[in-house]
Amino acid sequence: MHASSTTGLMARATVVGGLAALVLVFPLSRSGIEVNIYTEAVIYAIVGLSLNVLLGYAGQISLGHQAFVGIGAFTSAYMTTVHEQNFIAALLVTMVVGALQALFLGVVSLRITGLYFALVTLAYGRMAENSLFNITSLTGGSTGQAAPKPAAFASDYRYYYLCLAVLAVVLYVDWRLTSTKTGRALLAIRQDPKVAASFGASLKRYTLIAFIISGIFASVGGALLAHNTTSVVSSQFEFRLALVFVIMTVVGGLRSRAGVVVGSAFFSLTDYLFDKLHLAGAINAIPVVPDLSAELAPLVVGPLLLIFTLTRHPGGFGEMLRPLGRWLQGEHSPHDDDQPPVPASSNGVRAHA
Amino acid sequence: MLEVERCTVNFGGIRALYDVSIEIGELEIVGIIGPNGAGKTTLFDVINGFRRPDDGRVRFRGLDITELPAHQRAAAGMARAFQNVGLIRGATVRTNLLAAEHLAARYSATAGLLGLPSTYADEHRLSRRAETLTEILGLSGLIDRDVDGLPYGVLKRIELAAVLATDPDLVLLDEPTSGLGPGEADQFGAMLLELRRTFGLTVLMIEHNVPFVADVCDHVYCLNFGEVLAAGKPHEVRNHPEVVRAYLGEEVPSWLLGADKPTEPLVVVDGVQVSYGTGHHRSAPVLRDLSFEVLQQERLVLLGLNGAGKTTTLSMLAGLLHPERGSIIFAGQNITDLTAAERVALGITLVPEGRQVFPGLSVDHNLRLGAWMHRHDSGHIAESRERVLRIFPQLAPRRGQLAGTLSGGEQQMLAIGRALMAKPRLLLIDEASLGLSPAITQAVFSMIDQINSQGVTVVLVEQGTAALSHADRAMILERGQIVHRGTGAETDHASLRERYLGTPA
Repeated sequence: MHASSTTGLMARATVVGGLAALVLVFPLSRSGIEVNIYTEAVIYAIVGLSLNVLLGYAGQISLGHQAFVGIGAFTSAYMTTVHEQNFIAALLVTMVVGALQALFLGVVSLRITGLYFALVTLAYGRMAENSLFNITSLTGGSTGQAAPKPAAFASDYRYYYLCLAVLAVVLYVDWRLTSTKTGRALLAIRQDPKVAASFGASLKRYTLIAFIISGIFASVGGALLAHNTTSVVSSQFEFRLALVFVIMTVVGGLRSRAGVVVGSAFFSLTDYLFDKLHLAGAINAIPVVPDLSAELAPLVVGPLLLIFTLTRHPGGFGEMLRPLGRWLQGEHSPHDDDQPPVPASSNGVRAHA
Repeated sequence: MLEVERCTVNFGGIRALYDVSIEIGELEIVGIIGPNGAGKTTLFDVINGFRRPDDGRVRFRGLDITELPAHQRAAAGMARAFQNVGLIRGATVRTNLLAAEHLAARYSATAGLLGLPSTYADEHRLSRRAETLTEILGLSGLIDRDVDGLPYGVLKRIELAAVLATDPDLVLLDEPTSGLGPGEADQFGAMLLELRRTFGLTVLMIEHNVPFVADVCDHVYCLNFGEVLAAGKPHEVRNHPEVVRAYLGEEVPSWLLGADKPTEPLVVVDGVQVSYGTGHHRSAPVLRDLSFEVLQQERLVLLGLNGAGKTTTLSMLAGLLHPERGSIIFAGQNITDLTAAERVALGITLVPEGRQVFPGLSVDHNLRLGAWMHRHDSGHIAESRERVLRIFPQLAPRRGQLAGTLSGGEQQMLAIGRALMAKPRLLLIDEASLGLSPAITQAVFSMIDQINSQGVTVVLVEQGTAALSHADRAMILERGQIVHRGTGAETDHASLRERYLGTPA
């Protein structure tokens, strides 16, 4: 018994060590250009977590999240380049701007719900694309706005670790969100606003808090994205990006931090992986889509995975990763422990049926 | 402590409350009784802030709270339990209680999000507080269980723990004993008196169980058609002639046992075993080696405590659950592997527990959906609808009304009516009387008798024994097995009641 638990511990340590090595050490062995791609995956994870706050916790859809991210990117680029502020100061301004624009949409969401709100966010994204992102002084016009990396993190490798650190902070805040009253209030509101109100949780207040958090996460993601490529162009933030964001979050698994991070990173890396695994040729071989560019791969793979997720694995990657997570925490897999039989009740039945 | 002053509420032309005034003193337990559709739940909505009255004021401890939103009334010390259990589904008991402790958290939302050290300590305190509450309510072993799948009676108790977790002074309970066995109701009454002492609670409850109200309440109001019909001490209200007429109804004469009914079986269930879930998540069997027959044109009543497997049996007959072992024969055909939809086509329909009408659709559309199998046959629809409206004349004037605005009794009638639209041979009804007043329950039962007299076989799952006078045969289930079979009258025997149903003789 003791021996087996020791081997278990060893095995777990090996897996954790392997994952840590993959994330922390492996990039050091790659070229700077490839590290840029990994950095983008980390940033996508931040954006996925941002959307997860809205979609997963608050139950509000956003089809305009590319605007959330884009506004963050341009604000940070504008502050650092035009106003010559340092990275931290620019980031703080970016967070405030991100929070404010999300708050604005949040107020709208209190009046309009469901499909109509989805349309409002979609229109908001298009509006940002066509107006905000065309303000030359802010975005630098068609040539884009320069966004130098912060001096202390000028190397691609250092910047990668900076983004990892920010992701860690975002994960921490997200974890505290779900483990404190804010997360529980949102949970109750999503399930039954009346029950939430009878617990004393204000729908207005907590919905807006969710929007603000999501807005801050997204704008931080945007800022990091801008400095990763050292310049931003408005064409980066087209509507199809919003679709990728929604798909990666849902396929990753709403309300599952690990799932969303893995899902987002996966979608960010699809063209890279296609390239590495020489799948691009395979896709081009499909007669129906002769000249599919690798860039569009997420939009082909995405919907397929989305359909698969919605029909077969509603929990997304997060659900599939759960047994691994349990094992890493040293728990038995579910079929090992003898759970007391769930008493069949007249009411429980319906929930199962 | 609470004053409702001349409140009136209209729902688009229908007067739900008219000039209702109610007063509750500190530490009182006050009951509200009244037939379904009398406006009781609307009154609760007005008190707790889900609905602004069109006219009138609500005062709480002298403060006018008429304009205050519900969550602020919770902060002022008002808590509410719901008719259909107000808990967060898919979450653990602990999460539910922590959510209910929302106002007890001492940290700000921002501090919580930033994960400041003090918030960890406070979260720990809240968790301990939740544990204490579960101990007080006898739920300690369940704190980390998911609320889904727990029996109804236990859910009610968890909801009460959640209500207490909000640290209330005034508690609104909407039908606290509905769905509880009679023995459980008495236990609940004792617990309520105890909790009032321990927590200093004032209680206002809507309740149909009149003996329970008489036992527990200091003061009783009877509502009828949105107006206060009578108020006073429980025994005064109970014996008030108008209350007796409006609420308790007249005893419906028992159905005479039909000697000429055919005795060959319509359904033969042989040695079935049913569990929930699949694979590793499969539960222990809920039904084990269960065999029984349903005879042609009979009214079979299934009784048993919560968790005995009654609803599971109905779900299995309806095809919502499939047995791992055993077989089900319907009218000579093996239907064990048929889906629910295929069984509807054969003439088996289910009226699920809790009515489950489509609240956003009109009565008429609800009925039409019931005839889905015959949707291209307008003649069938018109004929079936006419038949349903003959059995349930109350629904006729409400055909265009949204089903969600019907009272509980009318919704139950609609649910049964909707099932009848499919022209069933076998009608499965789950807890037709849940949450209905005795008078309405009797009315629904006699409507079921009428349906039965037209040749429809009826299987009725019930919690109480009221249905027995309407049964040809009855079976008592206990832990997935049949422990008693007999005629309705035989089953209504004192010793059986006490042994299996917990009703004192």
